[in-house]
Amino acid sequence: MRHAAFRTSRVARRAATAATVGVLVVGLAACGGGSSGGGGSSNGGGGGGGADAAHPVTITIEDWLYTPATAGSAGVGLKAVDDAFMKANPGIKIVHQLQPYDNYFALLQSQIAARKGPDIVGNFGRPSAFQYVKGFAPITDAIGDERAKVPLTSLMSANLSDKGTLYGVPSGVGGYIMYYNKGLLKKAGVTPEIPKTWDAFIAAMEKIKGAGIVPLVTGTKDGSYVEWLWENVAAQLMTEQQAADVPLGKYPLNGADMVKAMEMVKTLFDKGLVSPDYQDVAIFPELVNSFGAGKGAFFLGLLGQETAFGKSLGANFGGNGLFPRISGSQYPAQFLDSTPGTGYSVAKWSKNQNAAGKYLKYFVSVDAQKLLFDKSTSYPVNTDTKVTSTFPSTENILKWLKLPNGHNGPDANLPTPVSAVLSQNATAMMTGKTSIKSVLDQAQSAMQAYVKQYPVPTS
Amino acid sequence: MSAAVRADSGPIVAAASRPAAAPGRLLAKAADLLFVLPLLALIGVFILLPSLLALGYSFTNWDPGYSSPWVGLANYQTLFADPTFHKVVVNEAVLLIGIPVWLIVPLIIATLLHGEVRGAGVFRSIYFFPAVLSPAILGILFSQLLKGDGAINQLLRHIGLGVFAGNWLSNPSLVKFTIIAVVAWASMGTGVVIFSSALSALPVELFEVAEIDGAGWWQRFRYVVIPGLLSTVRLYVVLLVITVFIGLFPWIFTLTQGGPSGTSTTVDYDIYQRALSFGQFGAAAAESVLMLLTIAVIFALGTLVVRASRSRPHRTEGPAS
Repeated sequence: MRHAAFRTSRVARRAATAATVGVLVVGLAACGGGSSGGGGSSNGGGGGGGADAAHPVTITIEDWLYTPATAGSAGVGLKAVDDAFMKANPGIKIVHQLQPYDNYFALLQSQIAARKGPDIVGNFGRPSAFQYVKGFAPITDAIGDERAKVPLTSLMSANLSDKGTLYGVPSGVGGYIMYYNKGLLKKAGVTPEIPKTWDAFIAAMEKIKGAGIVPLVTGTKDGSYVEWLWENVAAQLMTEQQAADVPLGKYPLNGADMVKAMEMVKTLFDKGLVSPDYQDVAIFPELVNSFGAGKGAFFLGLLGQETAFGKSLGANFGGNGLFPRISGSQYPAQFLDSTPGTGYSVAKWSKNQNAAGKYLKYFVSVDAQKLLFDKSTSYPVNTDTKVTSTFPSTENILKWLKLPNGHNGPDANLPTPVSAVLSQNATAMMTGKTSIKSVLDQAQSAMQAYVKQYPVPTS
Repeated sequence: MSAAVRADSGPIVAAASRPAAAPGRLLAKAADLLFVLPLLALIGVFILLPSLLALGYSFTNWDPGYSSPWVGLANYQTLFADPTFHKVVVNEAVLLIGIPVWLIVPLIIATLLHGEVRGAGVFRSIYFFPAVLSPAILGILFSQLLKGDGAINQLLRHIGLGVFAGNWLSNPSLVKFTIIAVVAWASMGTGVVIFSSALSALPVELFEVAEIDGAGWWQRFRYVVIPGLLSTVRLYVVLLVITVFIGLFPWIFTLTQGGPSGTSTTVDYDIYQRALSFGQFGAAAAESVLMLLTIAVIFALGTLVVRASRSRPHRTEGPAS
C-alpha cells in the first residue's frame, strides 16, 4: 500500500543516511587525529659532533635578525658567519631562518612546550632568558676555552646558572649612544657635539627649541624610549653589581635613586624638549627614521646605528657621543652603557647538540666576531678580536668600549613582564597622569613575581 | 488496535489511528543524532574540552609541557590584585557601550535601504566591503589614519574643524571611543546584510498597512521593524557581546597594543600577553575562566530581562491614525 511503502522507503532512506553519516564520522576521526610536526626540527645524521662529508647533518637556526638581503643589517654578518662555518665544516649544513620579532618569543614559548623546533634559538642575553632556559641545553663544555675570552660579567651572566653552567652566548655587544645632527645644531647656534654634562645638555636643548628645532627626537607610543633614557640616567646612580642584582630581584626598582632617575627623564618632557608628536611614535621604525630624516637634533640610539645614520643624514650627520654625565653620578667620568645584545642557545630537543655547540663556539671566536663586525658593525664580544674602522663614529665606540666602568643600568636586563609595566605606563608617567613611584612600585612587584616564577637555574 | 484503513479515510486520519512502530522511531532519532554528531564532536574537542582544561589549569602554576603544580586560587588572587586586570575590567565595561552603536547604525541603514530604493544592492555591497577585509589590515590602515598628523586630523584642520583633531589612539580618554568608532565602521556592513535579510522576510503588508494608517518613517521603524526583527536583534546582540570579549584582539594588536597605559587592553589581548609574552599561563587560564563566567552572567541577565519584558502585556494598538 502507498503508506506502508512510503514508510518503508523513509526508514530505508534514514538508515542509508545514518550509515553515510557514520562513515563520515569515522573518517573525520581518522583524519583529525594526526598532529603536524611543528617547527624546523633538523634531521638527524649521527651524533652531529662526528659529522663529516659522509655523514652530513643539518642544523637550523632561528632568530629575528636574519635579513641578509638588507645591506648592512645583522643578517649580512650572520650569513657570512654561517658560510664560513660551513666551509670549515663540510659535514654540517646551516639553515638559518627569520621569524618576525613581534611573535618571536611567543613562538619560542610554544616550541619549548612542544619540545620541537630549531636546533639553535636566538634570544636576549638577559635574565629574561630564565623564562625559557628549561628549553636550552647546557653548552659549557661546547664553548670550552672560548669562554675565557668573553667577559663573564654583564654580557654572559644572564646565561649562567648559579653553578656557572652556560646556557647561551651573546652575539655582540649592545648598548646606547647619543647621536646628533650637526646641521641642526649649527643652525641653532649650538656647538655641534654631544654635551658632556646633563645641565649642558638641557641648556643646549633649550637653545635648540628656541630656534624652532626639535631638540630630542622622542617617541613614547611603545614606551621603550622612556626606558632607554631612564636606563642611561640610572646607570650612573648605581654600581655595576647593583645593576646586575636588579633583574635577580636583589636590588629594588622603586628605590629613591630609580625614582630620581625617572624624574630626571620627565624633566625633558616637562620642558618640551622632545618631539611634539611623541605620543604617537614608536621607536622602530618611526623614531629611528625620524632622526634619520633630520627631524631633530639629538637622538639616543643603539650601537651600530651610526652607519645607517651616516648614510641617511649625509653631511648633516655629526657623529655620536657618550650619554651626558649627571650630577650625583657615582662615576668620575662618562662611560658607555653597554648591555648584552642578542644571543643564541642550543635547544634541548636538538638531535644535533654537538654540531650546534660547535657552531656557537665558532660564533664567539675571533674569526666569526670579526666577520660580524666587518659585515654588519656588530661589536665583538671576544676580547681577543682586534678590529678597526675608518668610520669615525665606529672608531669612537671601539674606543669607548674600553673605558673603565662600562656597564648597563637597571632596564637593560629586565624580564618582559617587568619591562611591560614600565613601557605601558611610560606616556602616563611623562605626562604626569600617573605617579612615577606608583609605576616603579608596580614594576618592583612584577619583578618579585618573576623571580619567584623563574628563579636562577640551579644546574 | 489494529490498523483498519477504511477506504474513505484520509491519509492523515489513517496515519493518526495507526500506532507508531517503536523501532522505526528510534532509528529515526538515531539518524537525527548522527547528523549532528560531527558538529558536536568538533565543538567538544575544540571548545568544551579546552574550556574544561583551562578551568583545571587555572588552579595550577601551568607550564605547558612541564610540571605544573597545584596552586589553588593563587592565580585568581594574582589577577584580582593586578592593576592591569582592573584596567581590563574597566576597559571592557566601556567597550560594551559600543554595542548600541554597532547595533543601531546598521539597523537604521538596513531599514533605509528596505523597499523600493534604487541601487539598494549597490549600497549594501559598498557597506559590506569592510567586512571582507581582515581586521588586522584595517587596523594597520587606521593606525596611520588616526595618528596626530594622520589623514583624519589633516582633513579636519583643512575644513576648519581643527579644534576636533586629537590624539585618537594615544589619548587615554579618547582611545576606547576611537576603537568603538572604528569597529562600528568595519562591522556596519555585516549588520546591514543581516538586518536587510531579516527585513525582507517581514510581510510587506505590515509596512503597507502602517503607511496607510499614516505612520511616518520613525513610527514604522518603531512599531513594525523593531518588533518584527526582535529575534534577529537579540541574536546580533549576542554576537556583539561575544565580540567585545573575544573579537577585538586584531584591532587592539594593530591599533594600540593595549595602550596608552593599558587603557585599551581587552581581556583577550591581556590573556594573549600574559600567556605568550610573560609566560604566566596559569594566570592567563584563570583570566579565560573569568571571561567565560562574565559572558555567561551577561547572557543570564539578558535572558531574565527578555523574559520579564515578554511577561508584560503587549501593546497591540498601532500608530495613532
